[in-house]
Order: sequence, then structure tokens, then C-alpha cells
Amino acid sequence: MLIFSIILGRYPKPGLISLEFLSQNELAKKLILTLRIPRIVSALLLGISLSLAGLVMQTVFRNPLVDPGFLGVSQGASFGAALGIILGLTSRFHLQALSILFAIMGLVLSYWISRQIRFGGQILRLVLSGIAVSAFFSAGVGILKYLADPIQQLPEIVFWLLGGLWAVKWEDLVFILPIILSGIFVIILLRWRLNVLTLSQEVAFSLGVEKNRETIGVILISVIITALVVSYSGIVSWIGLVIPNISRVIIGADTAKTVPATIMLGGIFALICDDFARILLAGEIPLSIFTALLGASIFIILLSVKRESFA
Amino acid sequence: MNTYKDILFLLNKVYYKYPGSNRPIFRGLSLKIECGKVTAILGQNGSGKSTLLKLLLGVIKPYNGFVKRVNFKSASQAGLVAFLPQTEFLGFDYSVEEYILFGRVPFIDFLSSPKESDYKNVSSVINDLKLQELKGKKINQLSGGEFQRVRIARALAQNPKVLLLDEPTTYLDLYHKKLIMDSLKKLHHQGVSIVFATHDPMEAANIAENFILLNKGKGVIIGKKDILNENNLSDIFSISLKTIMLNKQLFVIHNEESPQL
Repeated sequence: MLIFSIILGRYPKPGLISLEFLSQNELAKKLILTLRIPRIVSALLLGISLSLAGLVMQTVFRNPLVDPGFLGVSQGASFGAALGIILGLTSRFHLQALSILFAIMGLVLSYWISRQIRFGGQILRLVLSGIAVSAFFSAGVGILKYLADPIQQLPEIVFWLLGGLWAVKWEDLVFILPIILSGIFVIILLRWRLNVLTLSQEVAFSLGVEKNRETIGVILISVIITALVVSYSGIVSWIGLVIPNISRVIIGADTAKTVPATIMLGGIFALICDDFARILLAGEIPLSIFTALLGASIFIILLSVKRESFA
Repeated sequence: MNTYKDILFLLNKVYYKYPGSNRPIFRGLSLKIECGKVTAILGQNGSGKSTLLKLLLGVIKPYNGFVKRVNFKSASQAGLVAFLPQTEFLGFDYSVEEYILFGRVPFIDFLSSPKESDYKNVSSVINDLKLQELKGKKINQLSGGEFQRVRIARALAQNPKVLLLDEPTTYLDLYHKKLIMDSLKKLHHQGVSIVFATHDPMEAANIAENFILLNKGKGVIIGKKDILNENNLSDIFSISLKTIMLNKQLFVIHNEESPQL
């Protein structure tokens, strides 16, 4: 199924250039190799990572409304990027580094604060501190937006916050690609085991599962791949939230099935959305607009069609 | 205490309180639970029945004293003690078969998925408990009694030596109560040790051989069926009760004549 998704995923490339033209035209070849293919790879990676991370988070938090960036990761990354733009460090490398740095800082802060909370279970404490850290960083982004030069910097921040893959090159991907792929690989291996993490602490214990340790492990993996993806794409909303839910509506709750389904759907979905984002208008349209628009529409359609089985 | 051979759990001077609470649940609780028997833990709500079960399971540790699992260790021999909490919340709507498969976790490697043998085992558990007609259903479509039987099936899929059940029949009607009790009896005959918590002395008397009466904050009474007498029961439930033996079965009713204790 995974192989199928990879084969399938590469197809919906908007092939407006004919093959003969491509074989004759050096510029077109170069364009495909250095711009389009990395972009397609990054779109696939984005869709797969975010939706898989979303699935993992929703599973371990036993809550279908959880988004992969919610442990302070997305807001942390936004803050890092906005800070970079304000400080004039606008090279992609700097922005990427800063957003990864602050995404991880968001995670660490969330974890640290969760250790300070004196009530509730470990999971609840993480959720609460994640919400607090996200709020903290989004306030920071607000301040930076307020300080930003409205002609140059502000549009750039807003655009980054809306997400997009307009300038992804191979250089942006080389370092993070192996990490993201290995994270995805581990989750694929754990696809059935994830189910077990939805059981209560006592039941998991009676089955010999160290639930807390495994939960923290898969959360870390999800957060890291989310942070890495966000570092080159900006905030792309809805994919991580809606794709796992769509998979569940179609295929049921068993994560052994929803993991491959989510990978496939997430990859295809992100590709389609990104294709719209780059070809619909002459200029670039922020990716999040399409992910939200398409995601929400598909979700509503599925919910109304498969009403009985979802209820 | 001459030999360990027939003993399953041994509690020695166990002191336990929930984090953040000032009132300890157990102050120096010592008892032993026999191997191969059905043991009922009786007590009022809040008397520590669930806590005792969790201590036996090992998911919580006593502050002082110790819980010894005789004849098997807890961590290394995972899956030998199956646990059924009073209620269970599932975040997602699994099918009955998918859910029972979770009981196979101890037999499935960390990085792999259920194999043919696991599905076979689940099928035989489903047949044993006569759950065939539920097999394809989703958990959310089940009634309370059906879900309870499915949960027992999940526990059995892990081939446990010991079954710990927290109020297994609380929300069930008479018919389903009987079904559950019959399956427990059958398991007992197959050699599974059963420890279950309940607040129904009649149900306990019906199936259990050993009894642990938890008296809120005042200690425990441990013994055979004869400890289910009017005095003890009235004491642990804080209400005047009368016992009647009818067809060799114990019945407990309110004692209307005397005022409440």
C-alpha cells in the first residue's frame, strides 16, 4: 500500500509541458529537476509527515481533534520564523534553523511546564502546558507582527504563517529528509502497536506495556517530524487534523490500517493542494488556504455520506 | 504461614494513599490471596476495592510494606495477570475483533502486527464466550452487557493465570449477570485464579470461596463464607442488614426493624 502510494503520488504532476518539449528544452529539464521535483517531494513529505503525526497524536491523546503542532511546536516555529524576518535573517537556511530551534524550544517548554503542574495525569499535564506554550508563542508572534515594517516584513511574516512550498530546493531537504523518513519508518513499524496506547494505563500495564514511555516516544517522533516539515513549509493547517479523521471514516479505527491509509491520503492530498497553490494563479497562493478549503469540504462530504458508521 | 505453594499474592503491612490526599486508603494491610481460587473483595464505594486490585496488579506501588507476587513475577512475565477496570473509555470505535486482539499484545513483538495464530486464538475465545454474533460489530454498537463480555474476551485472549475484575457486573441486568458469572465459574474450573471487587454480597457468595471485607478505614476481615454474617455485613456497609439462607444461597436484605447503625 505504501509503495502504491508512492507510485500514485508522483503522478498528479501538472504536466502542462509535453514530453517532446521537455526532451528538447534544457531549461525545462532544469526547471523540472531543480524546482518541480523537490517541490513535489517536499509536498509529499509535508502531507505524509503532518497527517501521520496528527494520527499518532490523536491516537495517544485519544482525541480526534488534536493537531500535530499543538505541543507548542507550530507556534514555536512561527515565532522563530517571524523573529528571523524581523531581524533580517531572511535566508532560507536561517529561517529554517530558527523555526526548528523555536519549535523544539516549544516542545521542551511544554514538557518542562508539564513537569511543574501538580495535578492530573501525565498526558493531561502535557496537553495543558502545550496549550499554554502555544498561547505564549502566538502572543510573541503578535508582538513581532506589531513591530514589523508593514511594507516589507509584515507581508513576509503573514505569508510564512499561511504556509507554502514556493521556494523549496534540494538543499533545504538534504539534511532533514533522512530524519523525517526514519521517523515515518518507525511509525510504520509501530502501526499496530499504536492501538495499544489507546488503552487505559491499568489495562496496558496488565498487558506488559510501558504506556507512558511508549507514548512519550511516539509523541517525540511526531513532534520532531512536524517541526522539521514546518521549518521549510511554514504553518500548513488542517492536514494533520483532517486526514487522520478521513482515514478513520473510510477504513475504521485500527491503526494498522489507518497508518498506511493516512500516509497515502496525506501525500496525495498535499500534492493536490500544492498543485492548486502553484498553478491556479500566476503568483503563489498560500498552501493553507487550499488545505483548509479542500480538507474541510472533503471532511463534510464524508461525514454526511458515511453517517451511520461514523456515529 | 507454612508454605508459599498455594499463595498467589501476599500483602505485608501495605500502606497506601493517593498522591495529594491526606487520608490513607490502607494502613498496614496484610493479607494473602490463594492460588486457583475465586476471591471476592467486598466493600462500600470508596473502601479501596479498586485500589487493592491495582496494588495486586502492580500498576500502583505501596508507600510502605510490599505486595509479593508468589510463583510469578510481574514485569518479566507480562500478560499473566489480566485486569478489567470498572469502566473503559476507548477513544476510537474499534470493531469487536480488533478490540479482543489487544489482549494478544504480550504475544506480539514490539514492532510487528498480529499473526495468524493471534487471530485463531481470538476466534476460539469468541467461540468459547459465544460472542460470534457480535464479532463484526463496532464497540459503540454494543450494549453494556455485550461490551462487558467482549472485555472479558479481551482479558482471556491474553491467556492469563490470574483475572482481576473490578465490579464486573455492576451495570448489568440479571440475564447478563448470570452469563458473566457462568463464564467466570467456567474459567475457575479451567484453573484461572479470579479476584473480583463487588458491592453485592449475594453475588460474592454465589461464586467466591474466599472473601475480603474492606471496612472503610477500619481494616479488613478475611475468611470463608461464614464471615458474610449480619454483623460483618452491617458493619462494612454502614446499614443494618439481615441475612437469610434459602436453597443454600445467601440472601441479604435490609433490616427494617432496627434503626440504622
